[in-house]
Amino acid sequence: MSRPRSSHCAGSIWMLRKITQTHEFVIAVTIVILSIAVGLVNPAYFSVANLFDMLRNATIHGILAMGVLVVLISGGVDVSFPAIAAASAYLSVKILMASHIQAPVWAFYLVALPFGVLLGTLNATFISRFRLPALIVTLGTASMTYGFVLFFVGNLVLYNLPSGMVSYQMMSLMTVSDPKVGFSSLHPSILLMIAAGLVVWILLKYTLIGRGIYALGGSREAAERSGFNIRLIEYVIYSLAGVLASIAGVTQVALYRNANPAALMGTELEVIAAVVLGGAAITGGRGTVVGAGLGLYLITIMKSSLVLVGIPSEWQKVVIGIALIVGASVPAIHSSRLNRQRASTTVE
Amino acid sequence: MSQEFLRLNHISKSFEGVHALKDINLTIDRGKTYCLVGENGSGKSTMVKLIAGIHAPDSGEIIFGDRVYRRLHPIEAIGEGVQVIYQDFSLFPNLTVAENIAINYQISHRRFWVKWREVNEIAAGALKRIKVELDLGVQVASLPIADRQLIAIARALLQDARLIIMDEPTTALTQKEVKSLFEVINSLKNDGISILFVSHKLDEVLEIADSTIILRSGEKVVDREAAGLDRTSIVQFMTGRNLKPEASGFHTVPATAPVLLKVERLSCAGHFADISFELRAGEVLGITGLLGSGRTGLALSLFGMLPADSGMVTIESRPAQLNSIQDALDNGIAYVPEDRLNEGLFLTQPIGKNIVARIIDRLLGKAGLLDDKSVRSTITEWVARLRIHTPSTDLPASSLSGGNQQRVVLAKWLASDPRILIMNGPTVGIDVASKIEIHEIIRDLAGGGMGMLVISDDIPELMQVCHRILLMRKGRIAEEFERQQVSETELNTMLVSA
Repeated sequence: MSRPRSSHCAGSIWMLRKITQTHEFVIAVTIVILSIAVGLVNPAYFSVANLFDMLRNATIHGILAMGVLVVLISGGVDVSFPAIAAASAYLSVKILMASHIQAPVWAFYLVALPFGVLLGTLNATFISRFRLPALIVTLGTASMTYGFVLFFVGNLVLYNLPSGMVSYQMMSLMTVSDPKVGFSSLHPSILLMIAAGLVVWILLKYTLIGRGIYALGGSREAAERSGFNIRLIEYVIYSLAGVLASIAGVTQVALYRNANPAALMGTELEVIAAVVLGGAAITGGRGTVVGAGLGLYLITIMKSSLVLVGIPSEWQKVVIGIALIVGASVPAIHSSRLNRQRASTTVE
Repeated sequence: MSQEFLRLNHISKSFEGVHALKDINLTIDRGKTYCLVGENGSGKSTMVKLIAGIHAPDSGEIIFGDRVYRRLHPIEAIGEGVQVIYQDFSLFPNLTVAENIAINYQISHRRFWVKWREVNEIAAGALKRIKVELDLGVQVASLPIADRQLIAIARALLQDARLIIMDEPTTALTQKEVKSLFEVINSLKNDGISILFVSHKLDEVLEIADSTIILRSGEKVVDREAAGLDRTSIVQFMTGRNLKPEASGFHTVPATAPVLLKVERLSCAGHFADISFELRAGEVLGITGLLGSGRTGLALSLFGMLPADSGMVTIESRPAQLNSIQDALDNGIAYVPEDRLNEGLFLTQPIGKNIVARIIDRLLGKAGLLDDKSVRSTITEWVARLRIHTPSTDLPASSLSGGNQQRVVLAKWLASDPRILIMNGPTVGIDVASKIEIHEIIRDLAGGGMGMLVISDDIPELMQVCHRILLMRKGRIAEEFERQQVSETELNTMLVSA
């Protein structure tokens, strides 16, 4: 990258300033400050056990957040992912239980996946082909999916899960014992979250489709004129969100050891809040995997620290609401400040 | 190699029975610059869209070398080397300079993976071709309009452009930026690339064009070397009328006219400093300066949008605090913004509603509901007074041409009966005939005793309407002239000299 009029030294200062001005940096600093504050009140915060707990709590939302991130960058929105997650996981469990095979856990993921793709494609069809607003479409498909599963598939919460699922729930990458908290283990599903993050990161950063997603969010008209295949991009976006939802859904069944057709209902707000707090613009065009991850981590810390410092859990909803509004307003303030700087004059 | 790049052969096009273009013949040679001028609705944009393959002609042929098209598709036009740079540039504000330049190249070469080194190399190479230095890693949203235009040009070059069509390329540029754009255009010419310019700014047309094409109601009335034309003859060809652009009805401000607005040592950090002037009733005061000279900041400050840090404003001998738009309105100040589409009009709303929007509270009947009769009569009055051309005031404001939209904005403010009217770029993007009429309106209003501040970098315009002109530079008033004291050329030179 050529940067005229700056020596090497000035260049690295410039880089440093650029990094400190990023949204991700602000979130990271907030996380550090909040961690220190909570740690001072309750030293248990700094235990490995607590870290494992928080990671476990963040896994499902983390997978979902990657789908939401891609959708938001494109300038769309998706509120149907909890319904897709619950429906595809519930269907998968039902089907494999009815088949009476001792299915291994990957089979549950495999069976859930097509449902995720199908429902995501359904969203894409309405949004792309009929040019309907994404919010309305996904609200509609969410409600349809939920009602459809309750009526045709079942409305009971299944606690008696197949053995493949149960043994998966008890798997652990690493276990620590802590005198204060007891045993705590790192569940392998964290690897799924990391994989989801990697795939989305590569998609967004290193493929033309990914750049098309940013372009679409930046200016739809310009993206059309440039020759991007907008319909293909929209199918990729919403199908990917569906796939990630189905993976999150099955993981949720495993971690909570029950299959609930209404699972994850109401989490859409929390996941969107995390991604927005991480710097993704509701209006599209901006957002990063690192930012979304940090945003999610910040919300997780805020929630769990409320418990650690003894504040009633009802306040979690308040915190999520605040996070959503702060996340949406910080970039707006930043950009209006930028505009003012640009408009200003050097007065001599 | 033949000199001819493109020929339009007896092209006609009509929309719903209305002739947009009638039997047009036109040749575009390699390495030449053409200017396409005409009033709104004369068929300029239809012609551009035909060449770009967006519209198909009803009859006639479009010929590139030995390839004859009856119906040219956009992709074929691009393949022939036609690139259109629209007024909005079609850039992605959220992506970097490098990516904006290289993205079309990557799409047309059907890349799957994005190699960032390649992106930067492509972009750097394209900028080098037009001899421009820009920071490749910066987001386009943070760049001024002039830089965005250069990015659009660089991107067009990567698509093997042979003909670059620019729609109103200089509208938002300062004189200095126009100069550097013209340098770029000249270097493209030397590479054998043809340029078709669509412009309202006649001085620039005369400066840059090898050849001028003038359209009037869909017919080509002039197609010849620019050398033989001057501003008056171009206006005549465009309008078909003999409009006198010279100041008619210019009245003098009587020495006894009261001072409406007195500004003393007004400063606002980062925008302007130490501004003092007086504006008398019936006077038109011009404020000019390059973009970034603080002229818009001063206007916003007087309209209460950018409260000053220090200094004093006196309105009709009473000190005034202008800390909000409401304060300004209470003091009888109205402001016609530069960006009339976004800031001045409710585009999707009917013309009539736009006109009464400012004074809606004065049109209430006894029950506190709108009195339809007085609404109607107010609308009719202003449509007549400002000669707004529209079949119906129930049509949305977006249906009007630029000149008529500006009249609606004016009507909206004038209806509220202001004593001081600030106009920022009153005729930006407006065709010549409308421009002359708006100048007449400005002079009439001043004749009626209103105090007018006209902010513009269109020097001929200032010479048309202003009694006095203030020149701003780096946030301060650098010079002050009486209109008679200074010539256009002198003022132009002073404007660009730093």
